[in-house]
Amino acid sequence: MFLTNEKKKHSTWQGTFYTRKWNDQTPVVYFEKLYGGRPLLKKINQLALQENLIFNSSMVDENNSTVWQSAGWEVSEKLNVLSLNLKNIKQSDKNIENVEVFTDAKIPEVLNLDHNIFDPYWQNSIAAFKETIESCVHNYLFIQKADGDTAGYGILGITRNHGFLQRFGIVKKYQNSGLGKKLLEDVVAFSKQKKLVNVRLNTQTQNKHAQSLYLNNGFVYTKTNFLILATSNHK
Amino acid sequence: MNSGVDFAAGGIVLLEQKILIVKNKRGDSPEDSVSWWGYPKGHMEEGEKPADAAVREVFEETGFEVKLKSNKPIAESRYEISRDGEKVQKTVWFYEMEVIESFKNEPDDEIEEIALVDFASAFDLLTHEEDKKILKYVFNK
Repeated sequence: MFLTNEKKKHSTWQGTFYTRKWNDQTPVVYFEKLYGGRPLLKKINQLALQENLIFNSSMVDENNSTVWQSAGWEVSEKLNVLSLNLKNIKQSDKNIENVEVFTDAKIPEVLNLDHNIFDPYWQNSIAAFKETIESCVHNYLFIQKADGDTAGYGILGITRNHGFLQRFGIVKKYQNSGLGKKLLEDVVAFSKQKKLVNVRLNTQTQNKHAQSLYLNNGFVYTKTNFLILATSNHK
Repeated sequence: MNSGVDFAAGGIVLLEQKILIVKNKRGDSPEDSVSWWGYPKGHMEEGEKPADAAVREVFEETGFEVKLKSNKPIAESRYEISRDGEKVQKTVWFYEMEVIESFKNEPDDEIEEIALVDFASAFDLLTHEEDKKILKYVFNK
């Protein structure tokens, strides 16, 4: 009922929420609160214990997380929001060839690559990619090649004149070879050509490797942090 | 570029004790690294009056055809955001509106979802404290 591939809407007396499988590798329920406060969150935590299922929340602003914790949920992951101000970046007329519009049709191709890059917990499912596409008005896919091999990819979402680096990664074999920096530079140059004012991204606080790549390329921490909360049976 | 101030206008649209709110795609708010719920609003076009802009934005974002209940704003929201280290003072004027025709058009591309909800649901959904304050004021709570 809760471990479905597609997102499902549920309505109860305590509120309304969405669920789907976290991803294909992790038997956890992805939980997105729609209407409902502490009573709903408390009920889901009890349900998790009863059904022996772990629920993980969508991204919750750290400043709004007390209600979750008072309903029994616990912090599972912390994410930082980083931002690059494009105002002071010089426009380059470099022709960026490794970019194309990202649509549903491209998901199968990227899914494989995604699974070669990320740890099982952070791998995207088809449903998660569809949500990624839905969350911005325009979406672009960047592919990084290495001698004919595919070394990594990035997805840039655009709404108005703001960019969001929705996914970004390099396969382990090619990490520390400068390809991440090269791919990030392409994303930044493309964003500047599209006249965006900034590019933002979310990254795990624990992922020091990713953080240093972004910080070394002009990104700075914003005041916003997100948490993924989990029901109290998650450990 | 941005001189550090930003003005916009939006609509408080009520229909049978329910209020119209929108879920914005990642894009244009203080904490907009995820989609967020707020009132339909947007920037004035050149020479456009805030009240006219509010009516236009409600129609563009939600597809609801509306008319002003009054030419005076019912609420004003002022807050400061930090856009890449630069402080920007935002002012948004909200006008009370009534519905002429609901769901006349498709919602805008920048809108993920629209909802017509009661006070309790709106209070729960609205992402920003400023918007919750306006809600309380509008519903006399």
